[in-house]
Amino acid sequence: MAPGCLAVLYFICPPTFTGPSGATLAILLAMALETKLMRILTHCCAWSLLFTLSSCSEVFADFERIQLGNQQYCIPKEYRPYQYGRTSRVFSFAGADTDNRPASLIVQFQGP
Amino acid sequence: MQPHIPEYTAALGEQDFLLSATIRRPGAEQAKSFLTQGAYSSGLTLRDDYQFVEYDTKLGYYKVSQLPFPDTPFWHLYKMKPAVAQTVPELLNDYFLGACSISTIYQTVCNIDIQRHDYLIQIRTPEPNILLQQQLATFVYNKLQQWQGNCPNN
Repeated sequence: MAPGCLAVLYFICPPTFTGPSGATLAILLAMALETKLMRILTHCCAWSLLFTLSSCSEVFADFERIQLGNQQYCIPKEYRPYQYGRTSRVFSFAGADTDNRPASLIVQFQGP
Repeated sequence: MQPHIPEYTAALGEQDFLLSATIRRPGAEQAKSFLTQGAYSSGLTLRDDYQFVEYDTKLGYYKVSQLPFPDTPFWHLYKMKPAVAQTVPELLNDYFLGACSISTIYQTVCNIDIQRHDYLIQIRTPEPNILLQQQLATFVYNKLQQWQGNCPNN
């Protein structure tokens, strides 16, 4: 039950477990799951699952999270967001040379 | 687009994407420096083989190309009359309206870079909308603010 719960949490929302806070949460959860208090654990697991689902609801949402500089943007997929890499080379204004520009974001807007 | 900018021309129906934006966020100073490098000035001063000029009497801007109109695949749009002795203003948007080309989908498509705060927004739209570029940049900027608010952790 306990490892299964952890596995479910991990696979439902991997981004939650990729950063330091995610790792800490995973360790604490694993430690808690080692205790004998199965009923508490069951509740804990259920609440953790619920919390994780709510916090990573954007995985299922209709937008994409994109980082531009130090700011994040959650853009509806209808705008077809696309991002260049941070060191992508693009044509300069003159059109003759290339230079390294900051990461850029491309979006498209529909007609009427 | 039309609910936000009524003058916007949606030439090919609602399923077509008539406006795209390439957005960079280099910071206010660097964004301004991108726009003050004298880019596209060769068309305004008729250098580098830019020699063919047309004035659009309806829209009130000058079209300049290295090849004769109407067969040229690329041309530039200017607010000021091109001349060899023309003085080039410091800021791109004070003299330049857009770099245009023939498009297989929209007939003509033009690009223009516009600064909004610390963003550099490159608008890409059919030529009939090019005079709406400031409104379009503001529209895109407002969308960016809205999209920031969409993220739960922001």
